[in-house]
Amino acid sequence: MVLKTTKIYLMKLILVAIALIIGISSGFSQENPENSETTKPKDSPILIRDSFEDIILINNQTSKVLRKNTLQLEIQHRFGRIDQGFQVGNNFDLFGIFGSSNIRVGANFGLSDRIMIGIGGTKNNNLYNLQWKYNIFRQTESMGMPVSVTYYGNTSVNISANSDFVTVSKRLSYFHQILISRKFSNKLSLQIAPSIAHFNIIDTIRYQDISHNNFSFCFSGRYKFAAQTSFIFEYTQPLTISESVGTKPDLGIGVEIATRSHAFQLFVGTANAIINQYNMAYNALDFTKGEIQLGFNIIRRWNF
Amino acid sequence: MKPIVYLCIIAVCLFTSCESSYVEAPEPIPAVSFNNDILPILVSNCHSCHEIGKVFPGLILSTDKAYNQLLFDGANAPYVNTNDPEASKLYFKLNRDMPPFGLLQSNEIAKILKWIQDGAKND
Repeated sequence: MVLKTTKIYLMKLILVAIALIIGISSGFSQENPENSETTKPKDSPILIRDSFEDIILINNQTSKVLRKNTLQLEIQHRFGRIDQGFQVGNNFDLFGIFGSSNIRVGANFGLSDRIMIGIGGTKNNNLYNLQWKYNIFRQTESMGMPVSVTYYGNTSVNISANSDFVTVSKRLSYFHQILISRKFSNKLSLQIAPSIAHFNIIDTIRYQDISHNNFSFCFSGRYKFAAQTSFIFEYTQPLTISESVGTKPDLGIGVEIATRSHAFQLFVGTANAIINQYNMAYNALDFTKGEIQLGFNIIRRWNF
Repeated sequence: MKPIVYLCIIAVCLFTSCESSYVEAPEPIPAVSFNNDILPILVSNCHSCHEIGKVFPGLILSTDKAYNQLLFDGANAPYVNTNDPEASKLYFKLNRDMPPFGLLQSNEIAKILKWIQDGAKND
């Protein structure tokens, strides 16, 4: 019990420290004219831009952050399972398109070229989330930075009419991810992302071995085979496994069609919760058994 | 104040509301009636998809057909197993992925399990 309490306070301390470090370092970079992004001393490194076309890739984030004063609206939709329409007694539901579905609508805004925030609402589990992303390091053509490193986090509140949520804080869950990506060429970008999720309340009556804290590792990427079209993929391996939930990894593959202000991703995958922490902890769909569904992400950006 | 400072204040507030709690065990449930306790749960949460012409017509969970469908007529009936209640297909699905938009509350699932344990009667 003492060890658990210590771990909780230690985690809170680490998260508060991260928030303060971001605030302080950003404050310094804004005040110091030598670090201003509008000036380019002769020996400044050349930044690698657009490792990815968009800030999301199937079910995960990318290391890309919206530029300053950019507004992005996104619709993320997951159809029903492709295999269920072929089960006895069920309608053929056009490969899950007419089956049960999940949807999220969200908006993001770039506060600076390194920081963005966003909000959204998701149908399944009645989730509403606040999210943020901070680009810590940016890949350069030379002089030292071979990768981009970005921190992504979100907090979600479950507003279901559920008597288990006796206080507001019990409705909260958290997700934190460090996205490390590299643009190898104009065609190929790859990314790895260790992640942690925390649920303020868990149901150990229903899922005996579930944990408040869940860890996972994501590998994703895109291969641009045409001017505006890419092949995209992601694989998320949960490191915290619950036998009672039947936790399974998430595999998604698809295509992305992107222009300067639009992106459209069409894919098949397993995890359908959309919100990262719920995908990590509760995805029980097994792609090896064909338990996959169609999904798409639609993105539109405006620069102000 | 700079926006980043507001963000950090919000972040601190959010992070300090982190906790680790557990769902409390439901209180012992007295005898349940299918028509008064179980049927309202099924109709309000399941009937929108489990009906003819809807997503999954193989198991119809309407007011007049739910009982027979669950025990006898449904596509993969029986969905209840009075010899091993926790192995019932109905109980398994309610703890896994049904309804797909969000699982039932713990006390609702507990009532359904209690009904199966008491013999799954049509009362």
